[in-house]
Amino acid sequence: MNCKNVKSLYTAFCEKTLNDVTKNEVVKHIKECDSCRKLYESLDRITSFTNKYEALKPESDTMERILKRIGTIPQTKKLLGPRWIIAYATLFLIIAGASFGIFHRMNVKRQILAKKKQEELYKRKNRYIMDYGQFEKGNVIYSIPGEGNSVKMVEISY
Amino acid sequence: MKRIEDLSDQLLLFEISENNDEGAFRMIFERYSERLFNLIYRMTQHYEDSNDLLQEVFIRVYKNRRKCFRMKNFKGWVYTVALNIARDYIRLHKRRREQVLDEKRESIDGDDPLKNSEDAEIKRKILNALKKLNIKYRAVFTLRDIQGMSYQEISKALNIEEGTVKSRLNRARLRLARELEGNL
Repeated sequence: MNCKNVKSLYTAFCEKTLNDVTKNEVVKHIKECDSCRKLYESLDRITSFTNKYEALKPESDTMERILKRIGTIPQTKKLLGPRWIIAYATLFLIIAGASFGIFHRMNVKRQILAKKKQEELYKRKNRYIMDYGQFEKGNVIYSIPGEGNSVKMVEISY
Repeated sequence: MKRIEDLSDQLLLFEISENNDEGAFRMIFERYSERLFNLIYRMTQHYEDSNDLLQEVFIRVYKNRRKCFRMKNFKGWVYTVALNIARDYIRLHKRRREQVLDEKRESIDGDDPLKNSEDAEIKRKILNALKKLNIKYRAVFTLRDIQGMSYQEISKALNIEEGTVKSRLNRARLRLARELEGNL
């Protein structure tokens, strides 16, 4: 064991938390090393004095002075509740607003797309046959729900 | 019915927060003032200023009363506040000339005047050497060796691991020994 290790083990040595092997090594080193022995003696002397310091008390009027100072602090009334509620509410509003905006934008886009598709379908209506349930083959590209037979527009592959 | 002395910090802080209860505030002061004062005093080594700094700690408790009663570790928070206040004070007064230790406050025990004066001299030397330590080491040394708190209590008070407390304490002691080399 070297001097550095012995120095780092002082507190554990004092509090007797070292295992026997390490403790014996420390003791052996202290016996052989003058500087470490002096250091341990000096540390022992310091720790023997530190518990002799008397606990001091603050001045007796400290509390009264604090209360006096507290009296000058303006009392703020809670109008809006705790801060975390305000924070969550703000976050919710931001998320809700953003979601609504995105949804609305997507909806508008979808409507425009559907309108374009419808217009295109009407332009190409000659190529399509209105299906009243007779045709089963073909790719259904547009359907109008209704009572009884639904009206379907079917692209026929010839 | 529970006596006010038996109430937990959280309940007292709730009373302070919701009902502005002066009795509960006094109770919190009674519980913590002496230990906090000793910590601040050992850090700053100035009695009058330590009183002012202690006031500042409790003013902060009052200002943060709504936050305090929701805290899981109020003790840790209040110690951190005291240490921060003491640290700010030390930084502010660092450039001032070296303050003379408040010796009049250090009482002397026992009847042997010769031994007492010798002990007082060593105690003064230790405190002077303590001033040269880094604040984090000074805090751990003060809480453990002067105030006699357990590692667990210090760990909770300073919000650090117990292992860190032990290593800081060892370093603090070694640095003190180095400072006091040949003076003891």
